[in-house]
Amino acid sequence: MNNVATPLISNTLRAACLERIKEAQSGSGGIEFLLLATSDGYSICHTIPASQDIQPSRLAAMAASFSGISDGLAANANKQSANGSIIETGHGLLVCRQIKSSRHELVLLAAYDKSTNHGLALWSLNNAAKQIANVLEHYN
Amino acid sequence: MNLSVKTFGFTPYEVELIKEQIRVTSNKTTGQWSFEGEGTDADLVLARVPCQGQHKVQVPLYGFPLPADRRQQDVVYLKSEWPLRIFGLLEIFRQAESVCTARTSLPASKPAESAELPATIQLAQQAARIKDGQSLSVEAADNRCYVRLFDGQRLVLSNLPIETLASRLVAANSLRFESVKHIDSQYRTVTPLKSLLWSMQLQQPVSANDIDNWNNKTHRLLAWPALGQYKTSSFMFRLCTLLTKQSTSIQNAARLANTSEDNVVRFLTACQLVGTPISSTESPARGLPDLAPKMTVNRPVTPPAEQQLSLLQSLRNKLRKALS
Amino acid sequence: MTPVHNKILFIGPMGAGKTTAIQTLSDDMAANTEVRNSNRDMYDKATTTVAMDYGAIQLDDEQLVHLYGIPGQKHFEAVWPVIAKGAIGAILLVNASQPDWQNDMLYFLNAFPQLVTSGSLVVAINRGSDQQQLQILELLSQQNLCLPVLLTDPRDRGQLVMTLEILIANLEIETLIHE
Repeated sequence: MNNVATPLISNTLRAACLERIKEAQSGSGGIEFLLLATSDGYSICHTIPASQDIQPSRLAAMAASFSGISDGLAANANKQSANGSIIETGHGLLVCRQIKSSRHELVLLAAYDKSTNHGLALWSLNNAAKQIANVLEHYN
Repeated sequence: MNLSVKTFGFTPYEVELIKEQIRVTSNKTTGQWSFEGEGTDADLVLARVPCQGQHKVQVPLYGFPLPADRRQQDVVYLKSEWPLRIFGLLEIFRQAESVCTARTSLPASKPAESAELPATIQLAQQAARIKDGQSLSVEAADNRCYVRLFDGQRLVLSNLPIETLASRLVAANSLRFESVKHIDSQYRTVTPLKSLLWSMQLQQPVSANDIDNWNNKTHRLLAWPALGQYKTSSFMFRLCTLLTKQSTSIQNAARLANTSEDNVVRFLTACQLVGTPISSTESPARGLPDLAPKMTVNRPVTPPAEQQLSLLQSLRNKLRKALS
Repeated sequence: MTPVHNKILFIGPMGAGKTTAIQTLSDDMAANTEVRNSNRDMYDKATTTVAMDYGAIQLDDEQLVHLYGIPGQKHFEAVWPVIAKGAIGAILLVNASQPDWQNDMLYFLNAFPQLVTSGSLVVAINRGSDQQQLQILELLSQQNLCLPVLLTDPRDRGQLVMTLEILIANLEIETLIHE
């Protein structure tokens, strides 16, 4: 049992996901960074600038926890499972989107600047999530 | 009780290590053990090579059994592992203290079935004398059990559940001991001797002398007993938690743990018998509040006392109900 | 009115038995945040907790004692203080069949210093032996720590109740000596 492959450690898949989130960020205004993590909290790829004092691994773990809580909250409110969740801050939105395929469970976290409203943020993140989901299906 | 320990046949490096280990255990034993260097004339000798000399207890650490003809009849040989570990050393000290106490309290000519000591102490002392491969028959009224030294651990073989056996041995008070070669196969219940001593001690009547031994001092447990291996109850958990937090008199311990002074004395003696290290300090005067600093710093929360105690009582009741 | 604190924490590494323990003790179905474990090289377990486990014990007077479990993997360390906030005591579960379990235990003791210094922590060894219990008592002694150590099967309600009884005793004594 110990030789079960961890699909997301594939460098090819990682590179493909990175490409998609870079495209998503450049194609949509207001995104400060995107981070893709496994649902159990490991960072896969991100666009966090090196100049920012943010630890991607820490953020990946917390995004996974946040998504886990969202799922639990949804289930306990008879809403089955969560698709995503939003954190409002004085300095812009943080939005988590869960991406599930037959083989992968991921969390996409996006940070938006103060000028981006909820509608724009959700729309752009949904597009990014679809792109990632396509990659996952392709690599299945 | 002042006791001496010497090493024999170790390298200077090993001697330094042992010396340091003895220093670490210095406040964790009932007796005051002082390290007196290399030699064979001491209460206790830790031997790396076989030796003979004026000592009461020897711990052979040379990795092979000493032939019977090279053993001194008046020396009790204790088994331990090399290299020594702190708990191993504490166990050696505890057993050696038991032997040395027995030597001073029991005249050599006195028959083994002395009725003057409590049954628990009689058993502890006699069991401490068992050597490798020996078995001790313990008889109380119509009940019999055996103590055997096996792989460094003293085990009790009985055909009774441990609590029943403990009650009967305590009730009989006068125990008969006999060294035997064979153990009847009907004695199938195997329990560590420590578990039996613990259970016996907690049923043992407390004498004025017992209270005197623990009175006018404050006591602190330096480790928790190996819970789960011994029969326990709520007051013991409270005593453990209190006595590991601060050095406390038996009166204060009884008040805070909501139990009797007799139970505190029984509990402390039981801890001592199973080798849980206890530090006892003379208290300035009876009746004064304990002066020892409290360890309870940085409490996570500060709940209102009455409400918190009520919640805890409810939780305890609920947990008990769930199990009944 | 100052609230009565009634939160007990289950801590310990992944695979120690925290989720099971909370399920065993809880009156109703406990909630958890388990997801697929993507890193089975590290620990061969199908799922892992990512945020917390939650369960509760309903008392007669309609009060609840809340049981929270942390996510055990070390990369979730940032989440631990969030879950631990307000806890009155903790059960540290370790699995003696895991490699390096003794160091894991020390790691978690270091991560929750307040619970350790107040004595509000019980070490519960899952799949351990009497000998390992003594080893841990010795190891704690070497670290100048004086904590209760028990052998505990997280599926066994009776054994878990004993760990809670010890925490209750600790809280009673703490409450009394601070009165």
